[in-house]
Amino acid sequence: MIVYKGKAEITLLVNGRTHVLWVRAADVLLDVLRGQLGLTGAKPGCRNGDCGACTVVMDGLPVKSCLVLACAAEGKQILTVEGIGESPLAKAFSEARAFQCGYCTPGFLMASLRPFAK
Amino acid sequence: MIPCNFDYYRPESLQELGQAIREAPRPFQFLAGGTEIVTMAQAGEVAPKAVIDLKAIPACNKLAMENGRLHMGAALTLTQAATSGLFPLLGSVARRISDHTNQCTITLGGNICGTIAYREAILPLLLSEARAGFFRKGRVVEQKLADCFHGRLQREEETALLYLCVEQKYLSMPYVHVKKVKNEKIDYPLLTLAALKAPEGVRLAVSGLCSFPFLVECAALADPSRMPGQRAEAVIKSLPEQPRADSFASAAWRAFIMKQAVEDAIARLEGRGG
Amino acid sequence: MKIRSSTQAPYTVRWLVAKALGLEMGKVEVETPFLGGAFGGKTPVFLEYLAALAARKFPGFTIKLENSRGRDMASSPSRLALEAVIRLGADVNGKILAARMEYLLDCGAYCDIAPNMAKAIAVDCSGPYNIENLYCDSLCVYTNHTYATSFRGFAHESYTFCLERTLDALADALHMDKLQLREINAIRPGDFTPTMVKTNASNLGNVAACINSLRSQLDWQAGERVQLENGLIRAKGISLLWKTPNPSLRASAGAVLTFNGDGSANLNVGVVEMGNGGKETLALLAAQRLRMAAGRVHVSFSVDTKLTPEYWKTVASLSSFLAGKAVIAACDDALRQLISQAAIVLRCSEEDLDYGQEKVFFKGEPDFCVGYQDLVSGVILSGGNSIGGQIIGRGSHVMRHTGPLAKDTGKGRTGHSWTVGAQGVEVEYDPKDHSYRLLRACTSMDIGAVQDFDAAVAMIRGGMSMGLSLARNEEYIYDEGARLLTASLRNYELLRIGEEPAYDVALITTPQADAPGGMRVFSEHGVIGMPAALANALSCAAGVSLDMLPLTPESIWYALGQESAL
Repeated sequence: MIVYKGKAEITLLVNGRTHVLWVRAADVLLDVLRGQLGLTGAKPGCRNGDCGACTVVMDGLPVKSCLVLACAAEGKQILTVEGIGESPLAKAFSEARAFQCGYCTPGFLMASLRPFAK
Repeated sequence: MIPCNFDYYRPESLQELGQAIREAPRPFQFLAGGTEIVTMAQAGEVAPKAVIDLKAIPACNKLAMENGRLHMGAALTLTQAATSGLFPLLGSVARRISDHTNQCTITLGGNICGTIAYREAILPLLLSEARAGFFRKGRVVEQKLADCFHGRLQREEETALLYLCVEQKYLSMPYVHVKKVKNEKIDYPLLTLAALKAPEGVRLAVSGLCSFPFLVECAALADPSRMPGQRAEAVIKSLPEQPRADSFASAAWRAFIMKQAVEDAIARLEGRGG
Repeated sequence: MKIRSSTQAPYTVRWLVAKALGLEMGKVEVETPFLGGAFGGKTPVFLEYLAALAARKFPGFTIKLENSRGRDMASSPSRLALEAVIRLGADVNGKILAARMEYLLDCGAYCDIAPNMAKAIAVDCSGPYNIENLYCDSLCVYTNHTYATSFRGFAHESYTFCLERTLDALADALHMDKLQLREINAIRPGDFTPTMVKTNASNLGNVAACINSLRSQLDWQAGERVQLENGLIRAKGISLLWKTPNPSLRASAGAVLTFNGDGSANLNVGVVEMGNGGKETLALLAAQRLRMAAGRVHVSFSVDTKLTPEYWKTVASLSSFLAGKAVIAACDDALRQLISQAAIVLRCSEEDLDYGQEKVFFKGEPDFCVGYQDLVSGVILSGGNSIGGQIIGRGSHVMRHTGPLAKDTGKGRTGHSWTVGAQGVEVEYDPKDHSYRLLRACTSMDIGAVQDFDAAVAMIRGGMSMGLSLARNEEYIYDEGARLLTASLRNYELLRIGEEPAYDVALITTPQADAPGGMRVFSEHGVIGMPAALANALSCAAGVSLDMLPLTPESIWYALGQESAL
């Protein structure tokens, strides 16, 4: 049984790379991605699960990273927008200018990824 | 970020679950998808001293037909329940709870046990006379859901919901599911209506209309000799409380769409054209 | 005092914080990194005061102030609410002869820039129509709601809803085609605006061309309303739009151009990038003016008030014009220096020289030239002496001919030009439960010369989407105690993917003579006519006057009920 008392060393697999991180058990994945790994593509929009600006892909499925505990994400394959920069989907969004201010565009990209994955 | 600190337990068996429950500092919360707890903790509304993550326990993730029953672990996500195709009505309801991304995280147990009052996943389970399995004081105990669900799931302290099961006969009964919202597709329901055509007649369960989800208890509902419109009127009169009024809709509008939806559901299930 | 803020108006932050705290303006530095989204909501100075007060109390500490989404929705300034009473008088042929309007802006608990929005409504209150006898009162009202600030459209999407609903009602009263009513009354070059500015083709654009284009986009001739076999109803609604900016009388722009050793240039301008491509537009303008390749003019996304010449604020879609003029002036200044320096090197007079491809060359003998890279840091003569110096281009611009409105008549000019357009929406409505689908949304807009077609269309489409969301879904709901019930994206409703219509944008291109590159401003305008067009389409579909937003099934049901009760 995994037991983390307050703080812990966890291993996250992000965009194909392994990261060993020191986190609080109460740390949320969004903040760990942004604050510790510098992956600021996922954005805080509402911290309530409503807006989707924080969406990343975990084991092939989209999830709201503002609602996932970092230690619950251990062992999962995490993909962020930084990992799909050269993908046809990202290129299509760019060519079609499919954004306004662009703040939540990473969320759109990650939420759209799964239907295109096949 | 979550402003409080807590301990995190992830048991991988029922035995370890018992150990976690014994050892965890109080108060603790069970975690499956975690969407509600993480949201509320970030907002400062809850501050547990520990969370016990149920996602790694095999008994909470089972999805299988066994001895004539569909067995569904409480930690299964709405997406898993829907894509399995094993319980189409539940799948239909699951696909309209929150949005697609959240459905990949929200669990059956989380939706039923959470504090948010809609609990739409309970509707197919109430209609199909489901049974619920709990982990209470180190043992697995099973109960009829209808006996412990009265608007919300009643369970003792430190008792975890492990699984739900439904008898096979319900899985293939004709059904109707409709969700009415204020305007935006992704929304809390003004009305979520689930209906089954059981051998003894139409059964209805409703969420969003009142302040809790419930099984409709109205003798006229299953009476095929009366017109759908009349039976819808009778259902409206049998409601446990007045339709709610809030920022999403007035009581009058809720009553209006409820009547229409009941009439439509009866007509569709009994093959009575448009 | 160093302030790092998510703001569209770093120079306003500097000025107001210095003033409020009694600090010398030169000692307040405001930095805006890459902004993200704004749409007007980051124009007010709000959290900066609080952070600055705390920072002053605790010198040496960094104070960070960040609102949660809920607190932001409840207390940061938001959109305004508007009520209006409009009377239109027309002859039997549909020509509007007189109008009397009263607009009441619910500006909330503080006035911020709401009075400017009230003025903006008055300045454009006629819509793009020629109304010769016009009376308008436009009043700000304090209420106990969240206070209001600019939002994409600067109150134009709100008043246009009121005006265009009234025009449809007038068309019904006249038994006249709704598009034809707009056409008869459309403002044409030579007509006067509400505040008595004389229009011409350059400062107005072509309303008639927009109407004609919309007519074909919407298949208007095929009919406004049709009932399908399955009982659903398809209906179309239209709205015209126009807008002139209302910048402060002290609005100004400055730009500085420096060069790198390889001859490429750096453009330094205080426009905040907020996803509308403002900075790229200016870099392209500079590249065109300097006759350099696009990628050779570099522009930085962040703005620092200590390092960058002041730019009024990044609002009103005005950057391509106001900052654009300053950028062009800076380029011309740099070119003068380049040519002057080159004349010495090439030992000829400046009149003999032309420039292009990062070279200054003798006219007719392009090989007799000197490259920018050999000029920009001064010139080393054959004897080894250095002459001249760094090329540093500077330019600035203020809005010409604008001024306050006359107190008694309202006469005056507040902006440099108008941008006009025509919009339409088609819906499919279910009369049984009053739900509806958005089928298509069309815009024909006169944006003058087009620098980047795809970017322009995408910008307009985004505005259309926001306008539809406003009209279809969005509202702030208060309880009887005036507490805000919808301070969350959970219950503040928005348009979603899957609910969007098909978008169709057509661009009309009447050049604006005094605008950089002939481009009219248009960044926000896609939003303006959408609420009106949707309300007109649904009023037609449901057969009832829908004069309040948002347009939900319950609100349609309620309006029908009210009407049948009368």
